[in-house]
This record gives sequence, C-alpha cells and structure tokens, in this order.
Amino acid sequence: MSKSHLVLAWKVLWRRKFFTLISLFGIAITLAVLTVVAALADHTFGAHAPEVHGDRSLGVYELEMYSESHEYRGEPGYAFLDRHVRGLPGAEAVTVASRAQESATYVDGERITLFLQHADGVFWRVLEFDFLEGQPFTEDDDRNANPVAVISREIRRRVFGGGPAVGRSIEIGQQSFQVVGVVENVPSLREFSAADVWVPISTLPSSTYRQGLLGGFRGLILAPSRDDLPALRAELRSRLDQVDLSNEPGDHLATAAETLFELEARRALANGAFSAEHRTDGSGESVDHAARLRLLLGIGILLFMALPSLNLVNLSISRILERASEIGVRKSFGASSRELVAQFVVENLVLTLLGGLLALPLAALALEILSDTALVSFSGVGLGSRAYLAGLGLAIVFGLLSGAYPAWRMSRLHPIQALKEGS
Amino acid sequence: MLLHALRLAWNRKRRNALVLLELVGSFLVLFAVVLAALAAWRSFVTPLGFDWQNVWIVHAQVDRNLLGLSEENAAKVPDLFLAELESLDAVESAAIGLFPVFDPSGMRTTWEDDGERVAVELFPASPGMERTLGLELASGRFLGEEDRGDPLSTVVINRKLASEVWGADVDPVGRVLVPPGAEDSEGYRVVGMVEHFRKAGDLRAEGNMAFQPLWTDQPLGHGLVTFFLRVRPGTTAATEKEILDRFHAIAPTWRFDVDWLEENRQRHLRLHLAPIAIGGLVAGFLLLMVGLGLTGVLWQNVTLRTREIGLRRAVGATGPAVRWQVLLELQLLSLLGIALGTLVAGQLPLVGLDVLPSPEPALLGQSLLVSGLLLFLLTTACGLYPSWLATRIHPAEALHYE
Repeated sequence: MSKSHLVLAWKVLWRRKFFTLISLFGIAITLAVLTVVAALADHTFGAHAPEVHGDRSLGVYELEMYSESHEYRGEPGYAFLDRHVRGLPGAEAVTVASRAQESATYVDGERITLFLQHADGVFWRVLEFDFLEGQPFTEDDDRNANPVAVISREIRRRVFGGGPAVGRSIEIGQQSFQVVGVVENVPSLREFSAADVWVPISTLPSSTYRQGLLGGFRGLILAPSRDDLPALRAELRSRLDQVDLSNEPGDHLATAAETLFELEARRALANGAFSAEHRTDGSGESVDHAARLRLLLGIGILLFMALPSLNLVNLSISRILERASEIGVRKSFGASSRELVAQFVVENLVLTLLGGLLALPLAALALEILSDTALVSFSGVGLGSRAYLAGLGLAIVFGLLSGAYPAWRMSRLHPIQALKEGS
Repeated sequence: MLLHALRLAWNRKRRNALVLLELVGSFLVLFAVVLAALAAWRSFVTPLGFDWQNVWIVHAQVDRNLLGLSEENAAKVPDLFLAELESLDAVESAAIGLFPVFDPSGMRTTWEDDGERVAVELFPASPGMERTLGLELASGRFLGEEDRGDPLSTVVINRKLASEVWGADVDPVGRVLVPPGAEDSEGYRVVGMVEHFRKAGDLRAEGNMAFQPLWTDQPLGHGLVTFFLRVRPGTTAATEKEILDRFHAIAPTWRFDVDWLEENRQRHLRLHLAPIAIGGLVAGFLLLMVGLGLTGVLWQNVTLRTREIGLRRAVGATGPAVRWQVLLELQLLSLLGIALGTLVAGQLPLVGLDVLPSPEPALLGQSLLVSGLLLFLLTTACGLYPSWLATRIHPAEALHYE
C-alpha cells in the first residue's frame, strides 16, 4: 500500500460525496452498535471493580436438588456453602454472601428503596471495593452478629445528605445498623456484589438460614491463579457426592463452580438446567453451554453485519461500474488485475476505517444515554480500550468482508467491454 | 409492460440478485421487530384481570420455627396480621397469598379431566383476595367459608384453563379436575371462573391459573408468604412504615418488605419493553441505511442507462411512462423480496430454537402483512427520486451522452 494508493482512494471517495456519505453512515451505525454491545459485554463479564479477580475466581450461584417427582432449583443455602465449599483445598479464599434483596429505609417519612446484601468477613478480601470512608466489617463482626453496615456513596447521599456517615446509624427492615464504611457505587450488572448496603450475615433476624442446604446465598471462590481452576471444579464435584441428603426433600444434587460467562450461557441456553457432569446421578445431556453461546454470538454478529455488508457491496459495485471506463483504460495500459484489486481494497479499507472512527463518538454517546436511563443504573460503562480495539478490529473485518466480492467482480471486467461502458 | 419489465429485470439478474438479497434481509429485520412489537401490543391491551392501582403487597420471609409457638397458637397468627391490616384507616381490604403478582415465581403442576391433561399454575389465596385485587367473576363465585364443608377442595380458574380442558364457551362451574391418575374424590371442584388472571404481568403470556383456598386459621408454612392490601388513594409511605412496625411486633424474626404494585408494574413494563425498543431503534437505523443505499444504487442505474432512457423518450415514451418503468422494475423486485422473505420467515415455527416460543399463526400472518407493506412503502420511497431523475433526461442530450 503506497501513498499513491491512498491519495487515489481519497480522490475517488471525494468525487462521489453522496455515495461516500451513505456508505459511511451505514458503516458507522453498524460499528457503533457492535462497539456498544462489546462494551456492555466487557462490562458484564470482564474483571471490573469490585469483582476484580474474575479471571481467577469461580462462583457457586445455583443449586438444584431433585428426585423423581420434584425439582427445586435456586440459590445454594448457607449450610451447603459453609460446609462443602468454604474449605475447598487449593482455594485462596472463599466468601459466602446472600443475594442482594430489595429493602427500604425511611427518612423523614419518605421511603428510600435499597438493595441489602448479607456477607461474611471474607467478602472484603475476595472483592476489591473502593472505600471512600471507614473500613469493612470483619469476620469477628460476623461471628458476634454486630449490627454494622457498609453503605454506598449513593445511599450516603440520600440518607445522610452526603456528609460523613461513619458512626451514624441507619435503620433498615426494623433493624438498626451502625455505619462503619462507605464505598464507591457498585454497577448493577455485577452478578455477585451489586447492592447498596452490606451487613454481616449473622445479623439476619432468624438463624434458620444456618440449616438450609437450599436458598438465598452464593459463594465466590478465589484461586491463587487461573491454572488452579480446573482442580477446584473437580474437587467440588467430588464433594457433591458426599453430601448427606437424608433429611432433605431430594435424592440428588447438581451444582457447579462457574465463571460468569458459563453462568449466563447455562441460563440462556438450557433454561438454567445443569448438564450431566454436574449432577450426582449423571442424568441428562453433557453440553458445553459456554462454547455454544460463544458460537451463537459469533453467528449473531456475522448475521448482524450481513445486511450492512450487502449494502456496502451493492454500493461498491455501483462505484466500480461507474468507473468502468477508467478501469478499462488502466487495464489496456497494462495494469494487472492484482493492482486494481489492491487499489480497490485500499479504498474500501479507508472507507471502513473512517466509518469506524465515526462510530466511536456515536457509541460513546449511546453508552452515555444508556447509563443515564434507569435501564442500567450506576453503570459507569465507558468505552474501555478493549471495546475500542474490538470495534476497530470489527471495522477491518467488515471492510474485508464487504470488499471481497466487488473486488473479484472488478478484476473480471474485460477491458474492451469496460471501455464500451456497456454493463 | 409487465412482461417487458420482467425481461429487463432478468437481463440484469446478477446485479438485481444482490439488491434482492438486501431486500430479503431488510424484510427479515422488519419482520422480527414487527412481530415482537405486535406480540407486546396484543399482550398489553388484554386486561390483566386484577387491579394494580392502590394495591400494595408485603413480602414476608417466614422462618421455620413458627415463632417458637405451639401449633395451636401459630394457627392464630395469620388472622392477627389480617386484623392489624384491617384496623388501619388507610386499608380498605386485605388478603393473604403465597406468591406475588408481576413475578414469575409460582407453583406449577398438572391436572386432568377425562384424560385431557393441562399444565396449571396454582395461586393460593384467602377469600379476601377477591375484593383486594378487584377480581371479577365471569361465572360462579370466589372461594369462601362455605367451601370448608365441601368434601372436595375447591378452586376458581381462569377462562384460559377452562377452554383448554373443556373447550371455549363451556361453563366450568361444578366440574372437577384431578391430579393425573387420581380418583374424582381426590380432585378439585371448580366453583367460579374469572375472565383473565395475568399474574405474570401485561407483557407475559397468560398461564392456566387456579386459585386455591388459603385458610387464615392455619399456621403459615415456612418460606415466602405475601400479604395483599388495597389502600385508599393518596396513602403515603408513613402508612407503610406503620404496617412494617406492627408486623415486626407480631413476628420479630421474620423479614418484611413492602411493594407498591404500581411500581412493580412499571418495572415489569420497562424490563420487557426495553429489548423491543432497542431492537426497534437498531432496526430503524439499519433500514435507513438500506434505504439510502438503495436510492444510491437506483440513481446509479438510471445514470448508467441514460442512453436507453433517452432513446425511449426520443421514440415517444412519455415522462410518466419512463417513471413508471423504473418504479415497476423496483417494485417487482421488492415483491419478489417480500415473497422470498415470507418463505424464510415461515420456517420460523419449524426451526424454532428452544429459546423463542413459537408465535401463533394469526400473529405471524399479521406481522408478515405489516412487514411486507412497510417494505413496499420503503422501496417505493427510495425509487421516487431516481424515477423522477429519469424523466428529466432530455432525449437529445442523452443521445450525446458520453
């Protein structure tokens, strides 16, 4: 690719401004949509605060207990996680926390809805929160059922008017807690830790949670490194067989230590069912949902790019046909097909890269709007460098995809036909 | 003229094939969005079957110890809660259920009558539910104290369940449904029917619902229990706090949370409309892009065929005739695109991924029709400018064209 290629490409595109503009429009929109999707996916599945160690952690989010006639699926219970997951050999740390539940506090007669999560002391070691004030509660606090709480910046603003909150008390669900720390807001897309207020598990009004194998809690396992994950998975699976189900309404268990992506894949593709290798009786199909989801997403993206690519192909062919006589002249003067194709590919790449550049502010705007609507609260979703690179990569793929066929057509143009300008 | 246009189109088939492909793609995009939107609209305009304005629910997490009370004393607890609620000025009526509304959680089972099996979703409710939720009976009556004397358990079902088992327009009152394989004496007698009970919300499909009696003089089982209350318009959060304080006094180890159905409904609508809105927006941009592209391509076509058009004008074709010719070619192409697209879309019920439920034929038909119409309008709009351009070609100039 030489400078003359670029200069010629620029002149050609400039000559037919209308065509260039509509092509750019189409490309920019497509790439903007794809970049937004990439940013959202990165935000959901990538390692972001406070679930910073996503690449070396696994979660136990769901448990299924079943027999011939019944099936219960829900979150694991505290007893299951405490007895069978907490002591997993090879894990650096294991935390158990409840699913955040909607609750409320009343300030001056007004109701403030908030999400309350019950967590153990290890929670603050496995996850990295950004503390604005104070500090987290400890394992001692959990042991002694101290009524302490960590609140988010938003709750500090709404309940305490934004001033220092440590030492003050907040009443939630007929219980009074003393604030010991304030953290930065957590985006609502965080599967394990999205909440507004965190309190020790032992402050739950009733202690019956300690006996439940099923219900209301999740576990997050932090491994020393990524390589330790398969061993942890296997260890959990073998422990499953040893769980005593004699007092429980089921005969078999199914659960798995999963990454976020695996969790979503299972939920989306199997309606939440566990595959055979995770079941104690080995029934059912053995399917790799994560791989299937990746495949489907890949196909989905290609399909999505198909229509804009087609559009670009059509426009490109129009461009070529219009310049048929120019091509004919160059060919008859000895230009090889390869050279002409190279020229065309450069034009196409310039077009798609320009479109890609245009797509970035569009995508940024779209993400701004998405963050503002109540759809995704406290998003803080920005165009990270990963999403940016993904977008750029897509632009190049796009350019090559839509340039292949027209380039081939152009190379087949017979010089004489082209000079005659009959098409 | 038609035949001629067809022949012209066939001459340039390779070129037209690509445009056709683009049209088929656009049709499918339109179809997807129109289908989703029509399905949502259809759901939205069907009545819910219950009131959500001025109705609150209190979620209670009941522990396993029955508050440490004896069985006899624990059995008095539900009535205590109801009494507290009804003693408040702001509360017009109250009831107890197990599951909330605008929520997918529930208990599902299978019943049958005469070999005809149906999936049923159970909704246990105390007799006060009729007044609290504003249920309207289409036939029979709601559950009540008089059912205690019945040797069979009683149920109130929705019309959807009745139609599925016994056919539409059959009054189910008096009929009996049984668990599979059980005798009639272990079954459930229908004492009333409601027209609709769309428990899961405006934008989800209605299930086969059955109200079962929840007697308030029995201890509440462990797990979740939901209190329903109808409040006077204008009731504030102060009443909410009052209720929570009183409930907490009765059962200090239980957890209570209050929801206003109005807010639950908003959340439900937002959750289900969001994907459609986003899909619609993206589809809109895609179609705009296709439209602009098509206009450009057609413009190109006209410019390339200047001599041909000029020649026609020279031998006497009128302006409108030329314009029609261009438009006709385009419209033939779009009709073909719509036909092909319909063929592909028609495969949907057969291919049907497990993820998507198969839509009913009437909805499919309507969506196909609307999408076809919209695409036709779009392509015609695209063709207007180029066809107008064609009429502006002066024969003499055209014949000189280089």
